[in-house]
Amino acid sequence: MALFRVECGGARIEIWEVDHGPPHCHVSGPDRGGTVVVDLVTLRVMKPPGLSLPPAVSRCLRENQSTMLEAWTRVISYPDRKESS
Amino acid sequence: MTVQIGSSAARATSIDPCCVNEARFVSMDSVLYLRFEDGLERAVHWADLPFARRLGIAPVAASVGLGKESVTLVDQTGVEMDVSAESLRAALDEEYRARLLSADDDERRIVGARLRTVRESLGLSQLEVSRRSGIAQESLSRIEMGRRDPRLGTLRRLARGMGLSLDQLMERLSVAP
Repeated sequence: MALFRVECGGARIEIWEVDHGPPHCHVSGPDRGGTVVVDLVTLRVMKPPGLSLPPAVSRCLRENQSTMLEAWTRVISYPDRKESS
Repeated sequence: MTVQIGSSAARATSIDPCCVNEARFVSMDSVLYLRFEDGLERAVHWADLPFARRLGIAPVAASVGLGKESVTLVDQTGVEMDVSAESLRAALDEEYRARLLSADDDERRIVGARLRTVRESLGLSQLEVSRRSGIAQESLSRIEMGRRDPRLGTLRRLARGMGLSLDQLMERLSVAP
């Protein structure tokens, strides 16, 4: 089971145990092969840039934002320079 | 030990090197076999992956995960864990790892410069923000120079020190000056 996984608006939102980069989640949809990457702090789409999410998915992200940010603290970051302050 | 099985000329195309087309786990040998979308193939002993110990799982099976951008590992009790294909690629491809870390450095410098711009636009010195946030001035200086990656809690305290909410600070940091 991913660190966080929820289904809403026809999409699956996940946070994985090992990942890289700023706090983010992955959103899948029935129409896309890859995932949409969403910044957990701003809830903006990081990848692909400029993409808008369906309102139901955006609402779900807002409702779960604090839970996802908490989940992100348990992510094993790799690769990592280990220079956090 | 990582075993390079082969790689294809497809690496030069726009195919995403962080997508996995195939993931298998040979439990008898504890070897994870991966074939990335660009054709790169790797087989690695699970214990040799840099995050294997911290993950604390003894996989018996692996499969391609969400959007082909993760690999789902399952242990004998059925517990699942997901590893991003990008992290796996970085662990198995030194050149890719170096590129990723270099991009991190660039991003850190950009965010640091934006943080400095935000602070200066508010007419605050490093010393004032340090005093108000409880973050040492030296740490703030290192963050602004892009030499340190601030944690979320640090950013929250810095935002408070500048009289902003975390959302307001992140909003300003995400917009180029």
